[in-house]
Amino acid sequence: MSKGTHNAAPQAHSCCSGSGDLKEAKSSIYPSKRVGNKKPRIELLYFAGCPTYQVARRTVAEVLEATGMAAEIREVNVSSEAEAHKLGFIGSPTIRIDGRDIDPDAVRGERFGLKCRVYTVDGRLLGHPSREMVLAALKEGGYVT
Amino acid sequence: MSHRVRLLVASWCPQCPVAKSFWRRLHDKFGFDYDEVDIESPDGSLLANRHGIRSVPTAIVNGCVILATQPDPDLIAQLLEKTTQ
Repeated sequence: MSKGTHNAAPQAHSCCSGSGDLKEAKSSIYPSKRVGNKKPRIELLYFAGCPTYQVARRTVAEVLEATGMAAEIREVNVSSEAEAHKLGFIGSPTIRIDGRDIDPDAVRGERFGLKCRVYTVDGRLLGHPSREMVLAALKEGGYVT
Repeated sequence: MSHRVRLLVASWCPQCPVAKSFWRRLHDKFGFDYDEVDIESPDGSLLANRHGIRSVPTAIVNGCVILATQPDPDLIAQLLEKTTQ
């Protein structure tokens, strides 16, 4: 398992596309506002080669940037079935905020393993969560209104 | 009893070809009904919602959801055996 921890400034990752995405992100999460200076602890769990991991990573960066929030981000590369079980990993990409999955319903009854996760976004099943899901989890944690 | 296996997959899932290959081999050996369903298709979406599936690849064997990333052949044989009785 490889881990990378860093403090994210409120800016998008270099993988993000141009300012159009940020404008769209800001627009989609308006009028959410940051509360206080508390930093969320965000974990991004994935397996190498997961094609939707970068999208999830970019989504988190966009939400942080749009809300003007900094966060402690830890990226965890889950490399074996044993690690998946140890970490309670139900698929890539998984995003946890302060240890809580952004889609807690999905975790119930799901088996651990090196699989691809799917998220229900606007009634469709996609390989990555939406900005709204990330934002809802931040709201749940009391980081934004 | 005729067995039915439905494998839920996604076009962008790197683990899915391995699972497909595994289940196709078993299908050739045991001859059960078998199909692969894209989770983004209407049928796939319906199946995922009905069984509460939130990851791919996932196999549904005779209505039971099982993990299909690296299935244990003995487990599958037991399951097929069990559901025949």
